[in-house]
Amino acid sequence: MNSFLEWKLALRNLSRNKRRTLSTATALIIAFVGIAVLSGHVYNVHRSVKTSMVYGNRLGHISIFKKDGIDKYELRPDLYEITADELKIVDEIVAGLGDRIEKRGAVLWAPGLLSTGKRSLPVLIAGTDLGMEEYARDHASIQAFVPEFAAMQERPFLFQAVKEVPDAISIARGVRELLGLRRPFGELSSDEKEVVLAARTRERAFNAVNGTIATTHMTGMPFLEDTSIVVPLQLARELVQSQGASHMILFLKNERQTQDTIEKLQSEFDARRLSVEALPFADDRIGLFYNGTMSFLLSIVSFFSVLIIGASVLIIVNSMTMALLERAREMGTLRAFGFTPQRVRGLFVKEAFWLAGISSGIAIVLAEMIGYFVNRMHIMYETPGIVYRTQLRIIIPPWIYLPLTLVIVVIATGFSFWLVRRKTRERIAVLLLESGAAL
Amino acid sequence: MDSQPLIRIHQVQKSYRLGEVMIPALKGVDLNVAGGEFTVLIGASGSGKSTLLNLIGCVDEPDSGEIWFDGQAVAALNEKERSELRNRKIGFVFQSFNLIPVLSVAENIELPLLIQPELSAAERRQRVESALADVGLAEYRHHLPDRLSGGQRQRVAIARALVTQPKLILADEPTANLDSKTAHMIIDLLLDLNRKRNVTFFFCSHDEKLIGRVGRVLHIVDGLISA
Repeated sequence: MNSFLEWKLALRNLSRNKRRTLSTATALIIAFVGIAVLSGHVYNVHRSVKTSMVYGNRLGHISIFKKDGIDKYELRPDLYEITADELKIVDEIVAGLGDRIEKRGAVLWAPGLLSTGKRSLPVLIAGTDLGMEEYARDHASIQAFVPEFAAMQERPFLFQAVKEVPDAISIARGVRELLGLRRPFGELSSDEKEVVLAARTRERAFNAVNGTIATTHMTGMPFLEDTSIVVPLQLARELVQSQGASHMILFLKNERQTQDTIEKLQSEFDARRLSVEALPFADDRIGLFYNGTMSFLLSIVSFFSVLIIGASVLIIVNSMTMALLERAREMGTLRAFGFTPQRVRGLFVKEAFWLAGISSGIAIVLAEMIGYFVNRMHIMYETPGIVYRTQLRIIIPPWIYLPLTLVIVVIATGFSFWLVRRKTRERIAVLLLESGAAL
Repeated sequence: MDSQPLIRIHQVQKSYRLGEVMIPALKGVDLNVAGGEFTVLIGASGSGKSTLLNLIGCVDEPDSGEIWFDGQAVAALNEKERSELRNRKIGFVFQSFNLIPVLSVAENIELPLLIQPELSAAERRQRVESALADVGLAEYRHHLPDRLSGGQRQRVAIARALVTQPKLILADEPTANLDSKTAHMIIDLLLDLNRKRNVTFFFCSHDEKLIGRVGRVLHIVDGLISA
């Protein structure tokens, strides 16, 4: 049989029982749209959490620590710091990777105290390479994927403030609250802005440096908001009296190269007998918040997906069973005219293919419309573990439509194939006696 | 009429299971049908006439006995060969027409030709037109079946059976769903086609009034044929 005619006949058959076609199509569309919209939400949350961590909090795609430094640096910085000499070699190796690294910079963590003269707070000081700060702080992806986060960052940024005030420091919004500095910076007296930062040196002595509060930043995470201080790397080095770093951060041009880059780096480090390790952003010890959020979200989404898919498959199977069984006599008629079981099956499978294909097309349009309207409604919600309200966004990645369409087509055609094969194995004389279908 | 029988049936038996009980439908039927014959098999409901028709049409298989179609033992054919045999040598006319509702009259008639790859679209069209003309429905070619009367639907079914130019047309109570006037018109049409095309017709009916109108009448009672 001419394949074109088979497709034409299959398409026409969809109009035979409009109610049943509609109910099957509705089930297919609900399953498709439900999963697409859920995926769109998860995709957006994933992208925004990742962006706020990688760029907003400058965790980078790869972190290079002294071996075990990620766990032990805070207890024994003197043992687990990357020394100035080691840092030089690491920098050389990283530079050797060519243009896959978009930006790199050293960070020096120093747990210490911030004192205004009237009040002292325990803080975590992060001495940061200002070039990296400039690259990451206002990165285009933050504006694109986490506009709420971007909107809450105060200007000037630290890398801008140091041009005016060499000992400028940035305090987290929570720290500012704790210090009672509620008025705009312009209204604060110099006494209020001048602070002392104190911390233990590498020689285990106590040291202090002056700093000027020039701006605030937001970490987004409650456990960092009342402790985070960002200072120029040089100021932190002066404070702890070391030219080393707690770790180095790398930003990649293509984050898909993360694992490959880590392997390359690690093999170079090992070859040079450097006691350092490269860790991905998704390592639990670095991206714990990201991993925790995604695991939680994925478990919820999986649960709802199973519900949606389960209910939809039941409706699809039920509806298609009814639609196919009522046409048993037609199958018998076709068999009587000389259609082989394979040809009959082919006709019905093509029909299921049309149904699934058309339903998927409608579902794509519907999912995009839902996304558009939800995004326009600016629905804000509180996310556990994040200090700012985020907008509910449905941004469905276009690539997801292909696997979803394939799943829907496979369910519909697979079930149709199985059921028609079962029916066409029956004796033709029995099929011809079935009720319904042909006129 | 050809001297070689088109259909030869020898000691065919067929039973059906009804719950725990086996119901014998055919109890050792012997029958020869010559090519070009117009045969009607008359019997009451449950007498085994549809069962015999199904066996002749290769849409069912006997429990025992042998059936030859055009000199070929049907039991020796595989599934594909049987499908081919049904498509090219046998036409079916069903009591309830069995037209495909979403296809037009012409498309319904064309359906059995679609699996004959050697026919071009033009040849198929020409055969459909010829069959439509034979049954007098040329002006209804674009109608859907649900727009036709019962008699017209049966004529479409007859045209569909004729279009493959089969050696045999099997009709299972083709007039049972029609009023008596239409039924006689259908019988007239079948007789006319039998004469014009020399097609062998074998149909079953429980209508005794047909006895005087056809060439050969067979009676079937409790699964056994008597002339």
